[in-house]
Amino acid sequence: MRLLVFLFFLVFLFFPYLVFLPKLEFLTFIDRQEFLKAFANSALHSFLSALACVLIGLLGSMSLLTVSKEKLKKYIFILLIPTFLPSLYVILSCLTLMNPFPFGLWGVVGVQSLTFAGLATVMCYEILDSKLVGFSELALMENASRLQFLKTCLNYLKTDFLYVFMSLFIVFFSSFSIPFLIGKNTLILETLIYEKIKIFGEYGHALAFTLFESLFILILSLWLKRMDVSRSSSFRRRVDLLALPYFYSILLGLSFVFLLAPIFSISFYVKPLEVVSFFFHQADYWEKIKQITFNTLWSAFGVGGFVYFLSIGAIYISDSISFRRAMLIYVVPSTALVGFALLILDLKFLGWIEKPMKFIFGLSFLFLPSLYRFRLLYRFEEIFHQVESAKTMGGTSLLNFRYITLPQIHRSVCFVSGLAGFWAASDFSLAHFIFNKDETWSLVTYSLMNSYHLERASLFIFIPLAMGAAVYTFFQGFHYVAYPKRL
Amino acid sequence: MSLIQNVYKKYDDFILDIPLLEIPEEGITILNGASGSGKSTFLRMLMGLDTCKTMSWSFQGEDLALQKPQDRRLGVVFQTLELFPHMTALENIYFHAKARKISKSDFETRMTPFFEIAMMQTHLNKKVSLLSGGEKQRVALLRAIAGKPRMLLLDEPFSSLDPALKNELKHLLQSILKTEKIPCLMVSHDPEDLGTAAKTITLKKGTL
Repeated sequence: MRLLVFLFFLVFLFFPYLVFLPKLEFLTFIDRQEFLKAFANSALHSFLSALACVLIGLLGSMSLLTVSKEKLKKYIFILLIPTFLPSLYVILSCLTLMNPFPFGLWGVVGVQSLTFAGLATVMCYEILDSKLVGFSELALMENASRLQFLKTCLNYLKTDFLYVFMSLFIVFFSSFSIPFLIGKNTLILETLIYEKIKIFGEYGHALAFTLFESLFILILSLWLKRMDVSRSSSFRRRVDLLALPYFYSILLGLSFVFLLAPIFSISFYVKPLEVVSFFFHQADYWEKIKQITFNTLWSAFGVGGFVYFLSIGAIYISDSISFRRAMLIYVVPSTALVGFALLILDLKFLGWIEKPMKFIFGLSFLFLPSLYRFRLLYRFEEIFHQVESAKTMGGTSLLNFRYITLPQIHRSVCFVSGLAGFWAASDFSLAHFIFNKDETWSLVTYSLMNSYHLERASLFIFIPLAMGAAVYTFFQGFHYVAYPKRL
Repeated sequence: MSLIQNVYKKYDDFILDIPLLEIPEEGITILNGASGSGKSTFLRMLMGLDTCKTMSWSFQGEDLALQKPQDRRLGVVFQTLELFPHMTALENIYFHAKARKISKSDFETRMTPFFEIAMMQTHLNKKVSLLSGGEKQRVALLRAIAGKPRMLLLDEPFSSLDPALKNELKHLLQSILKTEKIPCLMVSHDPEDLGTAAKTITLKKGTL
């Protein structure tokens, strides 16, 4: 059983490469100049975005130190909103707020920095809170000046901040949706891979670029893993010498602006009935609405459900250190490559469910590794010693999984499944490879955005968002229904 | 007699080297030594959680070192106890019996006297998170014996307790060992324990 699960994950995690392997015959001379240019652009936008995030994050975290424990968790939740919102929503917010919008490299840097500033703030806060508590109190008693303390801290914490910087750099380097929509004529590695297949049909080149990109990210990930940045946050004591009052309000405001910008756009410019008639003026528009809604819900629930089963499978074999290590350093290939791999796969025998199935499979593939690292692995490691203890009592893998691991991780499994479903409802990056134009609500929004009907897009984005929220809520409730049986 | 031989493992700047160690058939064998002397590492090797390719462990006609952790039939109390927080005290204890395929009725018949000795009857259906430190310690000890182990391995089980509670639990341990007639290897720093030990082993920088 375990071996089967291992084998499944082996095939699953390498499926795009397996699909493209037969296409390697197309491999011809690679245009090095074009590749280097795209690589340099990718590195540049990732570097600038990560740097901006760390700088904002540092100021934000210093400011968060002044917040009381009661308010802190709420503020952290608000700060993380832009990071967890679907990228389509975030991009739409930015396009709505800035007119004219600076498309190109600076646009990408701006959107990415603003989207991830909250996350960077929380990461930096965790560092300050866990590592400087004792120092700060001692420095205060020794009458150290604010500047002296800040200089010492930055020197002491440079590895930790470098860790935050590198983590964000990796996220930005492999990001597809924001550069794809905002980058316009700036060629980056991800869009180059997309163009190689979409425009030129050069599968071999696309695969070679993806492999290079993955290798580069793998090296960075391994380096990141070697950094000693273990910390335990206290969320209690004060670091007065670093405290920077009120700056956090700017970041909290930013989160609300992101969240509310499309709503303002609707209320100022859109007459909903006009929109409906604009888009669905055909006689069969109810049919069309039903079809789009069905596609969106099907796909979102499907992604949530598939991620649920994948998570359970991954947890089942997580007591293997090799699997945990592999998942930690595994690099998801480019979204474009995954999209085209799914297009190439001939699954016509599935009939009408072919497209939703491909979408569910592809998106779950793209989401699982990061969700596993973000939540499941962390939860598993928290209870790992209990699993070891159960082993010494004679518990088999299945028994330990059923009675020890799953009951304690099931809530997290449902959380990540709900999150995957939430994102899936608003996904356009993989959807536009698989579905035709306007076959899901996110694609409807995407085409409206592309044709600069931002106000109308602002209205339509709330449909997939609401559907995503419903899927998320469903999986939260599913935890109570499917909670594993007790001993 | 349990005979452990050829324990040798090299870490970055530390070598654990125990050529030969005998553990008596009954009573408590105390393993002591300074922090970082390798006590917990050695205990984890005996549990099978850390590997040592050179080790052999002859006990009751079998080489336990060749067996997986789940097949060694040991009763273990970790320093951090590692109770399952989502279960009640009884479920925690019963898990070991279930893992060893002991029927519920057998489990109840065998364990009820121990529940009485440990004065745990009224706490069995409480979630472990609601138990006091001493009660948790008792649950861990009862759980260790619930699967009819052939030996108990205890990693500083009483280190965080006050003297009165420590004495209470030591008595419980001794009555368990007397009834079950099994050996026990216990890591301890407490000089008082040395008086009650059948044998004392001291580890110093990885060697005996």
